[in-house]
Amino acid sequence: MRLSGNGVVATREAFLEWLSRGRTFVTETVARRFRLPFPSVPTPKAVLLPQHEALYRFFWARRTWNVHPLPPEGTPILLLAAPCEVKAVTDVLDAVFLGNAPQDPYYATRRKNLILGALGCTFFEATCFCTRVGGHPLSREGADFFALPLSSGVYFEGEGVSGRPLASSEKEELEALVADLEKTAPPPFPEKTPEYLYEAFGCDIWEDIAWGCLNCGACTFLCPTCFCFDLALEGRLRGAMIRTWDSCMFPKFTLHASSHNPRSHPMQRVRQRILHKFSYHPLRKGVFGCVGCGRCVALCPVNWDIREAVERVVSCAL
Amino acid sequence: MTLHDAARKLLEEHKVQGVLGYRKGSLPFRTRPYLFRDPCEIEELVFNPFCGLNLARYLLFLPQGIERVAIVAKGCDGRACVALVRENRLRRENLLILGVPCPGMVDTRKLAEWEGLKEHEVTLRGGEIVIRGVAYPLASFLDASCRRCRYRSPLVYDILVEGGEVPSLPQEDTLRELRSLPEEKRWEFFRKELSRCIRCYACRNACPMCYCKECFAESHKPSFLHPSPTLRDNFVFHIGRAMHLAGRCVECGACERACPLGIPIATLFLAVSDTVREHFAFEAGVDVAAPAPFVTYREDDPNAFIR
Ligand code: SF4
Ligand code: SF4
Ligand code: SF4
Ligand code: SF4
Ligand code: SF4
Repeated sequence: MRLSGNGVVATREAFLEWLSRGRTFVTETVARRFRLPFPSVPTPKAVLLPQHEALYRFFWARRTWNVHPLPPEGTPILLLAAPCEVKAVTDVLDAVFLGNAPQDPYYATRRKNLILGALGCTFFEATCFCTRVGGHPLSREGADFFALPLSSGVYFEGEGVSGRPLASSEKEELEALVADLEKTAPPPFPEKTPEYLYEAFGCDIWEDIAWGCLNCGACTFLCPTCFCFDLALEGRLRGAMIRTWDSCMFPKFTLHASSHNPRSHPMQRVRQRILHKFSYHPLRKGVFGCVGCGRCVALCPVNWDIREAVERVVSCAL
Repeated sequence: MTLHDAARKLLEEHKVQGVLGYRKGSLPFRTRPYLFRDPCEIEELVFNPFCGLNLARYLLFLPQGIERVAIVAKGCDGRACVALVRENRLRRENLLILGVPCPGMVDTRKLAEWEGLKEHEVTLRGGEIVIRGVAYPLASFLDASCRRCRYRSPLVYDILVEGGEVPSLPQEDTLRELRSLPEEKRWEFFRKELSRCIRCYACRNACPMCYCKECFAESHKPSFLHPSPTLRDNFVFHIGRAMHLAGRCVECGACERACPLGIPIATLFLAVSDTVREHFAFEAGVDVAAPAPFVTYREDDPNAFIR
């Protein structure tokens, strides 16, 4: 769903005043583009699936283990994110943590308490490619409200902020923006990309594609859709079970108790990252596991670019 | 000989099977590592102030079939090569060091202030960096490791590439300010910075000297630290790494440039290197024959505590 054009125009002050009523955060992407007086979080993932989360506490006393589950935490917060980051929540995180029974109660509670707003993008950064993976810079899909800065105020769709109807000059501004984005939008990946990639598993270009990647956790940790986690005990006789992020880039991610490691080679881990996002997830859930936010491209220490990797594998499969 | 001519010739004459160098990246001001195997590709080889990675990191991860490799080495890459040879990770004869004098590496984060900056809008001129027609002192744009660099040209090389303007920047003690602070303030500095660390290990993985098959940070048996990035465990990781790099760190700053969060993590390793310099008169990667401070026992050691 693109913006309907049926929204209202509010003053920037009214919009900010409304946002200030609760605990409001913005994502780093939003913070970088707009000066808003709210603290930032890396992505919605950092709120919904925190990197350090205690699931239960335990201690050893009177010759027995005492275990106390910790209830899911839930303080209502409002988060203003870019449309791709909203998509990361609705297309990927929700599908993974709530899509099948049993649902993850920790995630579910946080999700229920999250008001997620989309702040439309007015241009594509060099790293942006939401339109290649089914997104759009003005998409309000999945968001609780949608806002877009205009020269005369803030265009708003949703409940909460009141304003006046769009003036004709503002309608023109919106139309011009839509047309401009249309012109500069990176074109979608081929429709059959997930199938092509699936076929290309055994292709011999993977070594070449993966070369240069440091196999660090920067891209996966900072990605809004990567959801893999690890459970590890903190403490010996007294402590907690902690859920923390894990990454398919790490050699121990797939290490079996037998000491066999099906992905012992760095190339296999890079391949997993690409195929999970662009083949396995879409084949199962019907949407890409990457929302094209470009954070991994921007933050990779060696400028390893996932867009090029997908293009190269697709052309290998064709 | 220019860099291109030298690299092309090496490949054409089959002196090496690959040239480790930099290639233009997909974003402005970014370069990426590349293993050139075909002399026709050499046109794409670049060397500029945005080649902050330490290429020696890749020497231990070469694809099969590469027996002898040439490496485009600025001063600190050269030091890492020497240090790796010194630690018996590489054979000197399998390595051809293509030395390039280094202008210093620009901290690309400092260019973020200029919105939509294009590559052609930035040029280097002597000790200055010209951005959209305005000249600024280059030093204020360089990484801390480059401002304090002692060896801009590799000390050990097989071919030293000519050309390339190397501004004569004063060598600066970038740690002086931090060192002059009282202990609580220094503690506060590291506390603040390390609490941001997400333990993605980009710093470690970018480091040419962190080549362990299994890092203590990820060891399960025994387990030294918890995988989740609490301040306590972050300290264990970074201080542990600093200890492992004492007398081995080549002061390249690649770790800091790799950090996606811009944590000035090299501070720790550079400070340890200073300590090693002061107490052992040793610098890693400067001399292939010099005994390494922490693996050498001497009966006449000047330090009584060791004897
Ligand atoms: S693609 Fe980049 S960020 Fe991701 S693991 Fe490789 S080097 Fe690290
Ligand atoms: S562009 Fe990169 S960081 Fe963003 S969703 Fe895709 S894989 Fe994740
Ligand atoms: S690269 Fe930065 S965030 Fe990642 S582990 Fe190192 S210091 Fe921490
Ligand atoms: S610790 Fe940092 S500065 Fe030292 S060798 Fe490793 S990457 Fe270079
Ligand atoms: S931190 Fe220590 S154990 Fe880990 S890779 Fe570096 S030298 Fe090896």
